[in-house]
Amino acid sequence: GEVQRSSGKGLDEGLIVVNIAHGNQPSEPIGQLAEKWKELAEEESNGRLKLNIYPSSQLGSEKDVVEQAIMGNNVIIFTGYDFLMDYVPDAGILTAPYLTDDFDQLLELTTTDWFGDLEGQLNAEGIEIVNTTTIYGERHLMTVDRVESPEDLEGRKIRVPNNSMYIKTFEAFGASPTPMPLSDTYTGMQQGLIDGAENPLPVLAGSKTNEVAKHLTLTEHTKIMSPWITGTEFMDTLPEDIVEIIKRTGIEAAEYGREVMMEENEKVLEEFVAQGIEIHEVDLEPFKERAESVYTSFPEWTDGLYKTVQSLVEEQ
Amino acid sequence: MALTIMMISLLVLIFINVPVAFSIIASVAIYFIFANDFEGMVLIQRMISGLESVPLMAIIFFMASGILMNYTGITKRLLNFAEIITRPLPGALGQVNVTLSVLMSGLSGSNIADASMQSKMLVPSMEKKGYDRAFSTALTATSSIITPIIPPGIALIMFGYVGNVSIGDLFMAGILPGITLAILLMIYVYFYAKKHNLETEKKAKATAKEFFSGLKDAILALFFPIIIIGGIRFGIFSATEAGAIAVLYALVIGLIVYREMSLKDLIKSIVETVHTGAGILLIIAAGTAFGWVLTLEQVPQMMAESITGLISTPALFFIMILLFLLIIGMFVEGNVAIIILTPLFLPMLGEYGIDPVHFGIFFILTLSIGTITPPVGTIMFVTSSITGTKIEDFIKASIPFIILLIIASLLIAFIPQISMFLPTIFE
Amino acid sequence: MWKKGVNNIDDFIASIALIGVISITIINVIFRYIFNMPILWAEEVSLALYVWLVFIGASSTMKRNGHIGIDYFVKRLPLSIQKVMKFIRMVVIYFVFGYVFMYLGSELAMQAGDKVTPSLRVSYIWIDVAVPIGGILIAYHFTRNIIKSFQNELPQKGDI
Ligand code: NA
Ligand code: NA
Repeated sequence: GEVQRSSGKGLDEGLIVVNIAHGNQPSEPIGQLAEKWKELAEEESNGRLKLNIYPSSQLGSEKDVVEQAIMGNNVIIFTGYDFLMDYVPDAGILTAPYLTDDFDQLLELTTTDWFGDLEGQLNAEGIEIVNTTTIYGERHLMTVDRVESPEDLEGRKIRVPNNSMYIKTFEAFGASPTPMPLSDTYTGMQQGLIDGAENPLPVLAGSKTNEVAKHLTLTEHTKIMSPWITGTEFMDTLPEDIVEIIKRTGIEAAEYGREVMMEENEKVLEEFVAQGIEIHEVDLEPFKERAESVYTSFPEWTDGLYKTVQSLVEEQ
Repeated sequence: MALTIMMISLLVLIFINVPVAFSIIASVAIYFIFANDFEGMVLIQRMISGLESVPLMAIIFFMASGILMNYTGITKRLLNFAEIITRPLPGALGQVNVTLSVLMSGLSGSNIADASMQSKMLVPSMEKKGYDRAFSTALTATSSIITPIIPPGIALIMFGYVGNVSIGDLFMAGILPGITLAILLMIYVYFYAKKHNLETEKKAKATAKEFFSGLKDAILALFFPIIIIGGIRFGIFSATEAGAIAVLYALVIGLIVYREMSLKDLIKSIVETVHTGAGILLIIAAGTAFGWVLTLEQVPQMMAESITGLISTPALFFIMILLFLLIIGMFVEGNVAIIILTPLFLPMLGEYGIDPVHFGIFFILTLSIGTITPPVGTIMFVTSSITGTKIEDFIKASIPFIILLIIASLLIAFIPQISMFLPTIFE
Repeated sequence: MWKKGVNNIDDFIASIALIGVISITIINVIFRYIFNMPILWAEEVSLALYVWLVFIGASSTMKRNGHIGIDYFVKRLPLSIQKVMKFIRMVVIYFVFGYVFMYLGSELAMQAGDKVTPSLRVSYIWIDVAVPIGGILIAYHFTRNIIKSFQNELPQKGDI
């Protein structure tokens, strides 16, 4: 777990290489964000820093690369608070359904003492958050048959990531959540193994669900802000000014990524309309009501966690 | 530096007959000792994660069902029937081998599953008819490459997903190239059989009575693909689950219908599946770790970058990619290569005016050639270990097939209509 | 009897894992299709068993000298060099199951505590530990095969 310094060529003496991993395609907003980050950070470091980007889960799945990071290997990874729940349970609430009304409220939460405490607990597990300001998107529902209310979802098999937050959310909606790899979603839906899928619009378009499902329900069930993390052990090997550059340019890149994401959302929505996908803007209240049970279904969470977070949101 | 040491140790270890899985694992371990970005534990993590793949489970399922089928008595009935219908053709069993892969490709998305089942089912019978074992094994290996190209195919889905290309179009585009490859192979088998005097004697066509009695015996086997196709098409199970259903089907036939399978046979087949399967899967696990190191060192990326710098015309581009993929395919497991290379190749296509769907079919076919070549050719190892063929014999026997596959790749590259005809008319 | 049990423990564990993978997959199809109730843990349990199947099964393969190698080149070398190669081969195999499987494998397993499977939330220790256990079994059979090959000075068939 030591910083790689290219040896040999005198010119490269002291070059610090940092590996950055994410699970998205290079063309997706997160991929573009990473490229921007590389560009900004390398420029600001005056050539002392080099970021190697590994998109498309090239270095491994989320759980594997997070494990690599915790071991102290040279890697920064894009992950999710739902995933970090395995290490610090309370982190998961940040991906709970209908937690806030907009992204700014959500981002604001990361500036609170409550979040600072969470970060401390993650540090104790060997995890260091590098960036908190990245927006991944808003999740919607794409189905073979029309869905306008939770009643329409009753018993429907919806593909979700293999992750307890999404499984519980769709159980709460009354659906039958079916975890499977994203890459199987297309054939799963084509063959009737599943009746629908949920994800942010660009991901729904990327996995080609629009070829096999004709109904998009704008459920907005989860707004996702996701952290970039690394191992505490690796972070400690980096010079302070380099850490500073990485963090600062990360915030800039995240702003850029958010713009790309917004543009992409609009583009995908237009494409869907052009392809004849029926888009349903529905009353969210019945979904929100059902989602409430999710907040009490994680016994590992601190007592009154939802109340705590709610009051933080209201204070804003 | 560490990368160079890894590559050299891999070649040396394979050269001195260290088992392939152990050669790969040892050389990757040596990489981790010399490189200081990642710890050795990551090697184990990558091997485990290489195995944690649902499509990969199909391998062991179809191996198990293939081994079990031999004890059910169904294989001999099926072969008997195949013999009846192909009797007048020279090299009939060779033709059956190719045709069966085309038929199987509608059921299976994985060439390894197809190759392992047919090595088990067809090669022993081919040997009895006087075919050379290495030839039969190489034919089985090569024809299994048809399976992932004709839909459904795991590789097509992965390419479509990673490259943001319509999977529906890719499925349509794969059909004719798969059949083209089959025709090339059948022509080759025809001439090979004539030359080696295999099943060339004038034989009378089977009588109607013979035909129907053969059909009656084989009906349970012929029924099986229908169960599988139907099950997949109607969404009862996935392609991987179809493998497990195949095992169940074999058990029902062997233990309940024909009652030719004893409990001892059952235990024997399970243990046989375990020790042949684990050997192959360990190579795949090790190959995953090896591919990971190449990715980390950005080897495929650097190679891809140097390509666009050098090439100006689409024709040259196809030929360069062909050479490049032949080399990459030799070292990197196909699905891993698709994940790494697709995002790198696709942006180049616009420059040369190549349709991504057309490219995808060419890409997948060319990459699959590496599955029947050393040092990490998965299909080569699967088929050779099942049929007991020495690797060097396989390599010798596979040379004409590799040439055929390269011809098929070139045909697909330079006659875009082969891939694009169906997607265009069904637009 | 006891000795026979030890010799076949790899076949036994790997076979149970195989039976488990197949049964779980079939049962999951039935539950999903007939009861419209997919088993959420089916995939992760099958994959865990699959890992066990391969690493323990690798010992079954070793026991039968079944790991594939390429003896084409070595066979063409002078006998004295072949002997040296054989020794190197032995060292490399010991390195793989000793250092990689047993040492690195247990190191990975020991730190895996918080990494859990998605729905059953079982620690990855239980998956990773298949590697060092497989290493021990391979070590046993490989060493046993070597001793046997020294005892009966017969010409060897498959080589390692
Ligand atoms: Na075949
Ligand atoms: Na297929």
